[in-house]
Amino acid sequence: MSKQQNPPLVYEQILERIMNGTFAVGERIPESRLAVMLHVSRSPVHTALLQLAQDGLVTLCPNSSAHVACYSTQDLQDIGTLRLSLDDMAIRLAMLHGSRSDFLALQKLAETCAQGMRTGNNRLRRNADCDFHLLLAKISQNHLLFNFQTELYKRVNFILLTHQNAVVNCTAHIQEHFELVDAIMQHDTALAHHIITHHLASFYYLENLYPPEFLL
Amino acid sequence: MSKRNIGLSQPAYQHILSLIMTKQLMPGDRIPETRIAEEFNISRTPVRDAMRQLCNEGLIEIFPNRFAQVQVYSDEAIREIGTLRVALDTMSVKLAGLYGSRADFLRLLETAEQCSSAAAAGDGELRRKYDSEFHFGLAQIAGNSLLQKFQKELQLRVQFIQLHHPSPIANETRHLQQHKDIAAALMEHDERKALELVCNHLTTFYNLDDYYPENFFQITF
Repeated sequence: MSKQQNPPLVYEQILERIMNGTFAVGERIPESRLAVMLHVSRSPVHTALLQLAQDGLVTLCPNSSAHVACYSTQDLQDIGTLRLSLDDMAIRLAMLHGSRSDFLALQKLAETCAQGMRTGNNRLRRNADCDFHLLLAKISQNHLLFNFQTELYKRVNFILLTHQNAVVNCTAHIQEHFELVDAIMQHDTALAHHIITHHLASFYYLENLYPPEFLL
Repeated sequence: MSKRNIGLSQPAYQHILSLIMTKQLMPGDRIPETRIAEEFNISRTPVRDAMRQLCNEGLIEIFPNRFAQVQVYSDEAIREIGTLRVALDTMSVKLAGLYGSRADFLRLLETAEQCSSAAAAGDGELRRKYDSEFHFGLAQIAGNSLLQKFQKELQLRVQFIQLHHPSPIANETRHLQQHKDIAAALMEHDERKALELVCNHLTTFYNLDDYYPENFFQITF
């Protein structure tokens, strides 16, 4: 007799399997086998997969099979471009609403990210990276922006997991987190804008895509 | 256990949405869950699914195990939406300036004109429809599917606020004229002007200038 789990728990468990590589990029997610593994019926698995598709981590095929998402170059650039606009707004708001305690918390996450890079702990590095940018959205005190960023950063974390990008292991890139916090604390809008633009443009190769004036 | 039939919740969803957008249900009003289930001859489960969808779209507030009511937007929540729209619309305009064709901008201009005509004729519903179409049109020209998804997620919230929490704009005709001006600026490849216009359009509508310091939405440095 199968035990009925709450859909949110099933969602978390499938997400975990995607984020720890149990299911690889593009791989088909075996709905029935997963249901057995999680001791639930197929219905909550299906519901969870629908939500994961909304979150951009799963693709649903016409024949109803689900696959772990595989991002095209266009997808990556779309995400990077959206981050440019939302992160920039989060930063402006963080400058306005952030307290000293908030900025210390940001510095702490920047340090954790750097530590992850130094020790080769990719999971630590990418989680701290996402938490850093999400904390900016939280400090902004704009709940809707925070919700939208939370949605976006599920995709970002997935990209950090699945895309080998030399930029993230570059000291200069990680250092930009610290420089960004400094700029925010000094209320230097222009500098903060420049740092986040470079930070994102370099990771998502947006400099190849857009003319220079676009990224000013 | 029976499989949830998403199809069953759609008529209920459309019905509740219609009740809200025609003012038969006002902010703070409770959603008559049982009555709707009876009217559509369905169980409360698909009605709950419909309400959950509307909750995600920002139109309903659900109090678990109690009831659901039409959302009431505080000034702060409205300001949050306006601020987010500035971020998304300025990016839409930047991308539209890069990727849009003359044909795209002419279509945008036409939508802008239809919006102004609807307003002049006193047709609020049509005005809101074309207003949404204009701003979403920018995102479509921008060609960024994730930006479009996020804009869509905002759309119902925006229409809801325009209907239920209208803030008086000093000159509505001039406000809607800005749609045409934005399309014209894009056609002339004057991106800076288009950006300033869309920023002004939104900060005026949402009274953001009263709240934020000067130069908060500065576009270039």
